[in-house]
Amino acid sequence: MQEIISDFWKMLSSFQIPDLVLSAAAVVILDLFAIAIILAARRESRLCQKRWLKVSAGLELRRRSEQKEYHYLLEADEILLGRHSSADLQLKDPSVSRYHAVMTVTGGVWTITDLNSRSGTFVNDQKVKQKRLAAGDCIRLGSSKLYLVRRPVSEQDEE
Amino acid sequence: MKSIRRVQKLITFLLLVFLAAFAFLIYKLQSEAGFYISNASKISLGNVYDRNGDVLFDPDADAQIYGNDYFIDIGNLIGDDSRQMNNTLVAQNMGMLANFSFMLGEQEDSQAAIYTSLDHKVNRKVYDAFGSKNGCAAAYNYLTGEIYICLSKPSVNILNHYSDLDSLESGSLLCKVFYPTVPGSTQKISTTLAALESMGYDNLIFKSYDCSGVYTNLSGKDIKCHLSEGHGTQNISEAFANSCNPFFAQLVEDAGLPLYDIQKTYEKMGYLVNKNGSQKYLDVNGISAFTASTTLADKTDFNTQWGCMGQGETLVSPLQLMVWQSAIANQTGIATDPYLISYATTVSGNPVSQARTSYSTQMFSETSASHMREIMLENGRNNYSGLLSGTDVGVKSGTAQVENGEKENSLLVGFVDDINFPVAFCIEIDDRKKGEVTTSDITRVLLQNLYESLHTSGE
Amino acid sequence: MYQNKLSYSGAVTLLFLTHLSMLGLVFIRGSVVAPLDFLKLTGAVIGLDIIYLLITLSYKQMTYTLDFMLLGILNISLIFQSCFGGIGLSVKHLISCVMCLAACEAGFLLTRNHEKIRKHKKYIYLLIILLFISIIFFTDNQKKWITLGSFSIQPSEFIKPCFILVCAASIVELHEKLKIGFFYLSKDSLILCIAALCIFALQWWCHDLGSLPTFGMIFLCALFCRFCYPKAKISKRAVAIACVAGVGILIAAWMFAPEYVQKRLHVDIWADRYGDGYQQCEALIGIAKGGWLGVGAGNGSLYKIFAHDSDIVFATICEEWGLLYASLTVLLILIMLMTVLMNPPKNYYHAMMTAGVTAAFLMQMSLNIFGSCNLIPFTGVTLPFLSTGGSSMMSCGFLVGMLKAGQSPLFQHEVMKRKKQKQKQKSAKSAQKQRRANS
Repeated sequence: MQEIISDFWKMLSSFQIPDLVLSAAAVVILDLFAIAIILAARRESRLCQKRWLKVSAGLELRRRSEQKEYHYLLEADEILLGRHSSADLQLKDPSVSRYHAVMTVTGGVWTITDLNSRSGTFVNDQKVKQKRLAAGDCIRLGSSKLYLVRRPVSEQDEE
Repeated sequence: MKSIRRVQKLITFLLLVFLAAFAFLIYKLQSEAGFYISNASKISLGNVYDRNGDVLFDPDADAQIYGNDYFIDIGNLIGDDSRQMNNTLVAQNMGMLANFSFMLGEQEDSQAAIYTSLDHKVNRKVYDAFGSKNGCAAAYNYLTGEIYICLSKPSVNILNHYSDLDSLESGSLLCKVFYPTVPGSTQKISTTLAALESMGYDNLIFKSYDCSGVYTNLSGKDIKCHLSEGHGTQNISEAFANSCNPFFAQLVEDAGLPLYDIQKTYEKMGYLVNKNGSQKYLDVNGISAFTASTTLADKTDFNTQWGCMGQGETLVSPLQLMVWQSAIANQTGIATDPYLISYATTVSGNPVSQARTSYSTQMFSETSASHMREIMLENGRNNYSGLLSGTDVGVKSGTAQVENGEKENSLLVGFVDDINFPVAFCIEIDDRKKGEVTTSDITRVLLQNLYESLHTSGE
Repeated sequence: MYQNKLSYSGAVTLLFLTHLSMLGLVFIRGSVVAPLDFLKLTGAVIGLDIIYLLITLSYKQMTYTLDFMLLGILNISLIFQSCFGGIGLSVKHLISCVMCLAACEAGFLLTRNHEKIRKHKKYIYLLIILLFISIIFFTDNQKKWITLGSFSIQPSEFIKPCFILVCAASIVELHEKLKIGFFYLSKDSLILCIAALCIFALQWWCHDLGSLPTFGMIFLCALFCRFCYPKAKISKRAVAIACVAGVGILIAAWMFAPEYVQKRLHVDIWADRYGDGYQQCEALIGIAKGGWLGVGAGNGSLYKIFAHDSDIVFATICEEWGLLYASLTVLLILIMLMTVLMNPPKNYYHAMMTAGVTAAFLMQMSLNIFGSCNLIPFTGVTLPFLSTGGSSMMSCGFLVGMLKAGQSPLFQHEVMKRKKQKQKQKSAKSAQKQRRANS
């Protein structure tokens, strides 16, 4: 360790001062550039999130079980509902098919499509094959109930 | 959603793997930079010094400063940066010697240097003592492992820059200390140790065999003694001192000494027996040195017996012969590993690579070692007195027939029984004829000069 | 300032400062012989910065960070390349950089609407077939280059982005399945497998084993995503079998690889210092000579070595600019890939695409950097953005464009809306005309 420190001092003293200052400055500026880019990317990601809320109509799915209430953000334009572990929204309920239904969004309108499930997909207690959804709708897959509700607007989103 | 997150995890994983590999690469580049730079076509190197500060290697050396043959005795040990010789101290440690560090780059006022444990003045005296003969000599401290003397003649004068390559004698570019040679009767040390290990001293000392000059072994071949009238009946101690071949042939044939036991002891000592496995090498600061090899087929076989007496297919390097002496002299059965570099300094002058004494594995038992030591000391007292005045020296001589018996190399290995001068040595003279310089003469020069040098400079 | 209403003044200032500090280093530590050459270089770098930043102002997109990063890296690379063995603007590399920026825009515009490109995937298949044909029939002896006048094109570079698009398409479309033997396969995954096999076979045939691992990596990522995709319906047993098969194929390939590959795999470079290991040995020695801070721009000696500006470019940069700066530049490329993590795409197609792009970049960087530093066998692949070569630069630019598309996508309904608006305007105009005509 001492070796490294003494070598380092010798390096500092052996360089001509403008060389050293410039080398250090170049390295520091490159670092700062990288940091600035990361910060910009973070701000952009917030902006993109806002835009996505517009595209996805700012909705989320809610499910109530005995103890807890679950919130599911809708963060892709295609969401698969089912019992299988690879489903985007996994419902551990034997009455739900492994790949039960899929929700898609275009232009702020969500549509649900049944994937030939055994127990069927119900929207507001009406069996459907494909249906447009609106905020406040209740979706029933087998015996599981999901509510499509407007996402509470947090302060960050308002910025 | 879930799969998008999974993709993100995959990307994170890939990035982390790459980053880890990249960090490893930077670490590797940083730590191996010295080695890389030592392979560059043009590099500036520091000096190599001996224990008293004499220069052993200087990249800018020329005859006018140092004298024409200043480096002749260590030419093929220390070597130079020309890449003509590979198994030399400079060639193997060029990274340590380079005037370069990763942080500083190449430095003009560098203090990179290697400080060796050699004693150049004594080394030179021993070299001169060979006179017109060729051979090699090595001596080291059997307690610490510092090599004091290491030379091989013929050598190469690096100041000539290989312009005389065609006129050099063969073997000039190799330091013979590190290369295999026929051990001759010095092999009887190993065989006696094997017998001590297998039978125990109390059984061995009561074994006595008759020598009438020639012994016909169980397979019907004659084993001749160097004394044509024979030594008569002897015990191990006498036979060792007489170096009596018929005695050792009968010892190998003895039912109390299974061949397997000999093989086991040999293998522990570092021999490659019957090409069973891969050859071992000793590492002396990057220089690789042969250990030993032999063939053991059958107790009654002529070649096997001959091999146990240091002829036939047995090969040992002088360095290994010397290193075994440390295990005997220390009475531990554990050899002290030899080294050349005491320490090195970096570009900015900080000492690094401080030498530490290291030891081999257990080669033979402590009791075998101390009995062997007694036998050798007795031999020294009776037959080699005056090697170093006032001190006992344990020795074993040997005469090795090479080139189908046309030439006889003379060997002497031993150790000094003095806690203030713990030196083990090995001397070899090529093709020695009667009346020429003897190994004892050279040993005398070596020990007396080394004693003086160590005891004056040390105080 | 920009059309997403965020201010980028800090990032833009630092972008300029980065390039100015590098140019300052060149001027003070480097070997500037002719001041005019240095001024030309300065002009080119700053000019490219200003022009591109002005052009981006006219684009409406959600993200600009990737544009800045790409511009930053390209100009850094231009400065690097211009200083090898003496300072003077490398016009060839400047053209490559401009083409790279153009390719980035093209990639962005082509892939930002995923529904559209999914609909038109037939054209991608067609393009791959065309590239195949061009490689088989029009390339030179080495099966790598097509020479057109003074330019030469490397078609295999362009297969990379197409292959990533094929991968992404095949993963998303899994609705129709055919039963072939014991396997359920969708049409698109079948096409993907065939395309992958064809590419591997083609590269084997061309002896272009350098880019084989890159395609292999993309394919592996695609398979991984395919297994994890919700609609894949693949059992764990199938995954296990696939893994075992993959390992088996790798071992077999290792064992039965042709001689020229085996030779590459088992080279002790220091033992063959002036033979096969020459480039790598010189590269490592160059890195050691450079140390942390380098010997100064234009003062290096590696420029005499063959492929100093492509295969061992990392070492050349290390020698002149120091390991510190070179690794920071590599880090900058990694940060560019990292923006995907901060701003995730919102649909599967783009997600798969970004995974493929990351895999391609990382694999190529590993092959180049670790290969030239003797951690893995040396293959002659280029380092993205830093090596010379127009084809490689263009394909890299296209890939960055794809990354950008993932972060700033265009949804189909927005396109429809715009069309409607245009139609409305048109009809309003024609109505006005009619009214005028009537009156």
